[in-house]
Amino acid sequence: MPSIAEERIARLHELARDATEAREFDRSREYVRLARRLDERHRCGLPREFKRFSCDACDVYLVPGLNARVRLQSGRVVVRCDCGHIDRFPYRD
Amino acid sequence: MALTPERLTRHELNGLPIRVAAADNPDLVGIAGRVVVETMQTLHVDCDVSAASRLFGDDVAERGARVVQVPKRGTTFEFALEQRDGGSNGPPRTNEAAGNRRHHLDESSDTRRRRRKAPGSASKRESETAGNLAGQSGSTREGSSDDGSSGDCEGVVYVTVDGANLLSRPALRTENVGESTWR
Repeated sequence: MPSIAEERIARLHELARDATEAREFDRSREYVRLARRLDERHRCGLPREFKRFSCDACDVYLVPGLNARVRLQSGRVVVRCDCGHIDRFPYRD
Repeated sequence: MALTPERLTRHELNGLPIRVAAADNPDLVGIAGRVVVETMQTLHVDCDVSAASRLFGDDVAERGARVVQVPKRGTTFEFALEQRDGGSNGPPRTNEAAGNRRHHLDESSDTRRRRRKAPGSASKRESETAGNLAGQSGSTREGSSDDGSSGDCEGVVYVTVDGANLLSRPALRTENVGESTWR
């Protein structure tokens, strides 16, 4: 049974993605920031997909091909936001 | 913990269809659209949504494509909650709000009542009076499809909320009730 905070985060996840796809990047940032604030108030964590597809530097939600470039290197996924920030996530074969 | 009328004031407002039912500023009455930004004292409503006219009928002020900023204080909002699945009000439980809401739905279809809850009230108040408040905050206007049938009704529930109850920082609105994580 998800709590209200977790449901709000799930809703904000959809809203942030839709905002990015509509090129409303600042609105997307507001949604991501609100979701992160809810997470830190309620200690409920963010979904992994949310963490990986939001920029740590400029808070925008990332949609690959639209405002993010995703490349594979050996042992890691490299996600680069349009603001220039780079996230690297390890993967195992 | 689905988005039900009695939990609306603690839940996410962004993205919900909204209409300004009454306001201190008469120019604001009739604004309908979708909430896009929430701040501590205001809501930003995106008026360029055709779904708003579908949900709220023809008494919608024509505003064109723009985002208007509506103060929460002194304004009465009407939210439209689309019931996607009948799970939230399908099985009528004794102490649950859903059963009460359905009663009120049959009896008073056009009396709109606001929920009375001071912003930042004590935590026990909501939990004690949740059952009683449920009917008052619940659906007050039937949607397009038949609401009388139980179970798989896909109607729209209209919730009227006094804007003073929403006066809170958006991230803190969820925390007004219950045990704090920060004890």
